[in-house]
Amino acid sequence: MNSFGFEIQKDNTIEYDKNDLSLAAFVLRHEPSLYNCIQCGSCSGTCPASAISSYQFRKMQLLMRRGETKHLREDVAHCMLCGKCILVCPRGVNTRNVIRQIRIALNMN
Amino acid sequence: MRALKKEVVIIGGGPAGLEAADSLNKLGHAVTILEKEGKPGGKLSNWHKLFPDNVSADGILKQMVHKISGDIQLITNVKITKISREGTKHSVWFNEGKCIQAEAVLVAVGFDLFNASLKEEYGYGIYDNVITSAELESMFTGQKSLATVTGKTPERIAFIHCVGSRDEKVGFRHCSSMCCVTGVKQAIEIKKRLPAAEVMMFYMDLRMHGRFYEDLYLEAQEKHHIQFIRGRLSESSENPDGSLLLKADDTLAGSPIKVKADLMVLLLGFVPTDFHRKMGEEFGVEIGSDGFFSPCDAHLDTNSVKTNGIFVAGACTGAKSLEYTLADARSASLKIHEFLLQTTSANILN
Amino acid sequence: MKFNLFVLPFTIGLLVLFSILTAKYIRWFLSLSTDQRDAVIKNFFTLKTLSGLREIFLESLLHRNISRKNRLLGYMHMSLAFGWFLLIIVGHFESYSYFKTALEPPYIPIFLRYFQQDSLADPLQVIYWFVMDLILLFVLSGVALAWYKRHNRKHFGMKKTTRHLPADRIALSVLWFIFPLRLLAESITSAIYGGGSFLTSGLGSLLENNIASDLSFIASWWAYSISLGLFFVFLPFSRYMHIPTELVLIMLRNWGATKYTGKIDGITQFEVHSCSSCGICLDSCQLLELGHANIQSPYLFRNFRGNKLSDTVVQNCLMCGRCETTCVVGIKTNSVRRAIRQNSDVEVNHDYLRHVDTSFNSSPDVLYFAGCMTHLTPGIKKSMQAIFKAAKINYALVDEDQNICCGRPMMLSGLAEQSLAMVNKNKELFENSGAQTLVTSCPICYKVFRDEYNLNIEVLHHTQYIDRLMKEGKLALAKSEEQVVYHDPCELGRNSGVYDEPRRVIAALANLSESPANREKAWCCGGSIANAMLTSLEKKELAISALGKIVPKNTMTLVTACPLCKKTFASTGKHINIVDIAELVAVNLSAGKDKRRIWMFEKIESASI
Repeated sequence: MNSFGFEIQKDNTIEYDKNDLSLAAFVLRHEPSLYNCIQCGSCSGTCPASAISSYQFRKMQLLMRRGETKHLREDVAHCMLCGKCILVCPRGVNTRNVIRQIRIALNMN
Repeated sequence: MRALKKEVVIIGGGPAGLEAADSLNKLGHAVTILEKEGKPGGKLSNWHKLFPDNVSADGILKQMVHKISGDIQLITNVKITKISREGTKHSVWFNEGKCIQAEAVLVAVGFDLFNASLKEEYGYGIYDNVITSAELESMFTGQKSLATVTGKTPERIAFIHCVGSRDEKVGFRHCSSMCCVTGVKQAIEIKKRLPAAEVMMFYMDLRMHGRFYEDLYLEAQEKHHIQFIRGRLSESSENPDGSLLLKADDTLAGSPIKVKADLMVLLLGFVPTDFHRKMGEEFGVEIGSDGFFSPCDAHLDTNSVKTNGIFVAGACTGAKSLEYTLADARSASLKIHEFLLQTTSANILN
Repeated sequence: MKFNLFVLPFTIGLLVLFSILTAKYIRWFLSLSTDQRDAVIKNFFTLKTLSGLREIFLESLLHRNISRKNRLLGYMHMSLAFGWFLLIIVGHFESYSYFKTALEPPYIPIFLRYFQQDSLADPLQVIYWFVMDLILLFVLSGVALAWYKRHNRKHFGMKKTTRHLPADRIALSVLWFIFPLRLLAESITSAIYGGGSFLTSGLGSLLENNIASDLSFIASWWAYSISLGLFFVFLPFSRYMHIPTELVLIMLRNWGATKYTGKIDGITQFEVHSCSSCGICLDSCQLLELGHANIQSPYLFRNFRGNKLSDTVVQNCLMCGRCETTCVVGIKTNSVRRAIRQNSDVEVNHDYLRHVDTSFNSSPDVLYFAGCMTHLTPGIKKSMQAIFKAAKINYALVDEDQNICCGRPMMLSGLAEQSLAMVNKNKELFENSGAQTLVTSCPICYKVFRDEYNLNIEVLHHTQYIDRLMKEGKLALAKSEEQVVYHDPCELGRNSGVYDEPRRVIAALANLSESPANREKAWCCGGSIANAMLTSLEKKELAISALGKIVPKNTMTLVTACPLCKKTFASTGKHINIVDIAELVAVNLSAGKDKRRIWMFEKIESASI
């Protein structure tokens, strides 16, 4: 194998026009309160799973809405469903149903 | 014009009430201000300095109170029980049976600061070193010392934006619009007094919409090295030494953040008063979804309400800076003057 | 030969019914867990069988539980069930006394009057006729009431009633026809051949001249037999399946074989098929206030039976357990729903828990697990710490900095198997501590620690623990004149049976008034973690409605014992103090000592709910 001593830098641009947004559309259709998110991070700041893992609800759903769903399956598996996020969300997003809908969408895919 | 002298009652002796009293008096009307506290000034009395130019709140207030003279009567320690109307006359009842009659009533009751204990996860009233923006002002004015409860000089102070604002979970969806700049102003003041202290602001969006507000923001960064962390505070807990552990999502960094702070300042939102609800329920004054009074027209007539003879001014129609509160009070005075002229000419014709 | 072709519909129907029942029941019995099956075998030849039979008599025939809800409704069910039962039993005796043999085909006692055409009126026969007429009248009164109930359910103490499926409607109509047709057949028989007593003979004499004929005679017996046969054929496919199934369920329950296994098993099947869709539970469901119909337990069970489960009917439930307490059959609605929700396909990955350190550097006597929700109600946490300190307890706060969820929210959401990593990690943490007692402030955690963790450590909710400290005289408290009302959290009250300890603690500190809907009848605050479908506005609506029903006039303070209830009620923005029992105690402890800040009992001029 040829080794050039460097790796091609991964392009981290969100190719919005190329990304598949159908998963996000499914989740938003079944839990439209997600549209109300203002990215304040109350959910991920209080999340007990976020405190001890790479999981972050806010970031996960934002990436999903940009069509970046590569890590969605492994991310959403981290949730403990404790429900703290729902209690702190200032916009009344039904976060637990977002999780549920993502799981439903992934099993469908 | 003296012959047209009319009685106007102003409910609330804060900046809006005082400014309107002065204008109405200059337009030739007799004004009575009903103030619930023992002295006029409203929330301005407890404030130290004003944004964006750091003028003394006390100085401004003194100039305003100085104008109470002549045909302006100030009654303090008032508790209003009822407002009624017969023909064009309004009767305002207060303090067990006292009554004052007027042709027009200006409601200038301002706002309440959000009761921070309702946002329980922030620990106000539970953890000793969680204070409100109002309490910080009283530290600046010297009524309290700028220190932790144990008297220690705080090394790190965290400001929390949007406490009681933009939060469905406490029932207030609206942006109070004044807390952002208040927080930045207070943070700068702290740095002036305690240059060694580290100050950080937990915010969702910094809404520096007024003239020179952005300059204040820049000053906070440039001169005072204040840290701005974009993330709403999620919860706080108390360390054994009385300091606080703050948990939030540092959204721009993309990771949860834990920070220790010696003092935590909650920037309280503007919320409607009990009087708003009363006026709505008992006198049919229209209340908006945020609980504040809704004037007849949000653009063309910001001081009238649907009930004839009742007017509104200042922060009781939604959060306003002092500058806009005073302008609104003057605008209301003109509106009331026009109204009184009309009723007079109507009476003459009859 | 005692036979006529008209007995065929009945006989065939009966055979079909028995074959289907046998097939189904065998299948369900085979899907019992080993524990459940062992319980049946172990307890079969014991007194438990007798007590099961006694319960069957009291419930399935006399309908004692329904009578407690509403006497008219109870009478209706009793007249139909017990009356029918008597018709069969007394019919057998009558048949025996007539034919002097017990070895008749099963249709003989049912159609006895047809085969008695040439009977002579001996005194015993006259008594039988009289008794049988009396029983038939008793049953017919039930049919009349049932018919009346369809149109006037309010007289039966029910606001709502279930909407039925076509099979149910057919079975119901057929059922209504059975006894009037029997009356008709027996009356015509009486008109033509004599016999019968006050009812059949009386009606017979009215029919004698115009209706009674050879044709109407045989036609009426055919009609009666067809209605019976149809009912039997429809029974296994309609809600009337509950009639035989409930008998089995009662026996299984008495044998101690109904222990919840976490998945759909034979017991789930027996429970689901024991639901008669009577609808008595409907009025207890708070989701109806929001207009969420067709998702309540009877609908869940029916859709399960018909294999037509929708996501909404499975998920849209608070699992508050209110319906369970009103179910006259005693179906464990929450357990059944949990079993139906169980979904092993959902991937969950909690490997990150491996890195959580579970070692202890202190050796506490008591562990305090605040719980996820309690971190959002620090007033409760700080109060508990003050109480531990005042009682001089050697305790450790286990979830100070980070915490692992107890697992119950996942279990309630159908991810019980997937929650095991969390459960095991928490167990490891508790057991490493060497403590004897685990105290938690969250009823959700309490329920699962106590009932599903199998811990060697005693588990107490903080209300129970405070009650114990007070009994031991470890807390110096004084009663105040504050007027308070207590709200039973679902998970602590109905779902864990803790009702008295919180009341004892409150009564020692304040004047406790009870809301009309307390204890097992308590309302859910609406914040339940078991429901992922309600919007935040709907939850708020439920909370406002519940507050209005719980808090009596002139009471400014609502005391609860659950951080989730506290948070949910607080978010209504209503002018009322919402405090936890722990806070009530902590304020009492510090009264007079620390007046600097007290985070409750601020003066509220007027409650506005």
